[in-house]
Amino acid sequence: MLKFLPKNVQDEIISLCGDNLCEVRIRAGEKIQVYSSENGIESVKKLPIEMSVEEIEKCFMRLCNFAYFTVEDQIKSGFITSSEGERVGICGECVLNGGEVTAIKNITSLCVRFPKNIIGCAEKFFDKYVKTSPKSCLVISPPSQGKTTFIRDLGRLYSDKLGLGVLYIDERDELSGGGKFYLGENADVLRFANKDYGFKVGVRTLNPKVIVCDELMSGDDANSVLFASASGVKVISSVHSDNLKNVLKKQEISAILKCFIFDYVIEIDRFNIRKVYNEKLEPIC
Amino acid sequence: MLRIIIGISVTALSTFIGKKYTDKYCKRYSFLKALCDFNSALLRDVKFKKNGILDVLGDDFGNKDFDVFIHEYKLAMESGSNLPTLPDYLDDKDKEEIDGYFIKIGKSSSVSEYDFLLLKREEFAERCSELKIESQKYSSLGTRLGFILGVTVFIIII
Repeated sequence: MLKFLPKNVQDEIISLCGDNLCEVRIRAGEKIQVYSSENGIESVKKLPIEMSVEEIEKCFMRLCNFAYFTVEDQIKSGFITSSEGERVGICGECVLNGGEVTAIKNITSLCVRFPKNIIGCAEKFFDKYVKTSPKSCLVISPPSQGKTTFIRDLGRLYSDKLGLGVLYIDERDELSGGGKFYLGENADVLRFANKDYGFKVGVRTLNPKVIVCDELMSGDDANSVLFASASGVKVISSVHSDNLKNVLKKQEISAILKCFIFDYVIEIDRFNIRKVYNEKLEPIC
Repeated sequence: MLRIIIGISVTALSTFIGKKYTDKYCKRYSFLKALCDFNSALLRDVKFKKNGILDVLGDDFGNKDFDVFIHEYKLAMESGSNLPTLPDYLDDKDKEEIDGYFIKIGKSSSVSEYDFLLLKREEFAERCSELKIESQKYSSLGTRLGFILGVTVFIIII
């Protein structure tokens, strides 16, 4: 964990929080902040360690295996996934080329988030609503509330309990956790593939019965889901929001919801299911 | 009989010293050739797999001194310490060139990195050709001169 940080910083953070670690914030010239969660209670601690811009730059180079070109596509999206599956958000000076961000330089802060794998967190939902036939599901929650963990586990259950071929389109390497998480015995993973490629190539060549992907955001994402659904493939996905009402304000996502693509829409809050809606977006729980 | 033995020993020793003195030309060429291979491996990585420099540094390039250097370079990168020292048989200009190369690699986008490595491929290939000619010229010269000197002493002894 945190292998790209200097050894003393790594040891300090791990000894402070261990497995309860949720997030680490490193800002140049400021004390390192460590967020942890234990028994549902979140806390933040400040380490008596500050890092300079040069030290953050060194961490960044370790993160990209000392070769910027290996992560340039990720950097354009503002993050890097470490070899351990940690998602590291990057902040600094954007380099623009024709109005498009092509690089980030003079990095001044890093935001490290840790993927959690909780096997069985989707079991209750699966036993009550899915049972024996696969359903398309959309999971809604604000950031860091367990969406990715939930959809990963749901995919695993479709694979292992229903024996279905499941394709994970792992755009940011978070679903597979750098290849470390168990996804099911019938799972295929396309790491770092964008959704457009993943859906089209996956449906045509990998014959999945279910596709799992994280964070629908754009019209292209919505079209990919539509394509899969029209091809008879079930989709498990997620969207950042606090409730369905706000999701419906996002035009692209709202359009596919109103096509009854998702059999269930689930609002979750720290892995707890708050509400479940049917395909007509009527609350059933 | 004793003189013959001494004479033969002096000839052998002198030939050996002559060869050793000019060995550095062979070593220089061999080191640069390994560097050319490393650069090619990095070019392939930038174009194809994009695994990064640490991966390429893990390979062997058929030259003990070069392989030791890149192993030490890998350790230096991971620990954040200074670049390791290059072998003494390289001249100052080559050392500066090689140090500069290793400082610059990995610091840019795939397009820029590829262009940089292509340019270096040509420069290193040219330098390799020069060193190959030098090595062929001087290493055989050293051996011959050593042998001639040895034989001369042999004759004088006899």
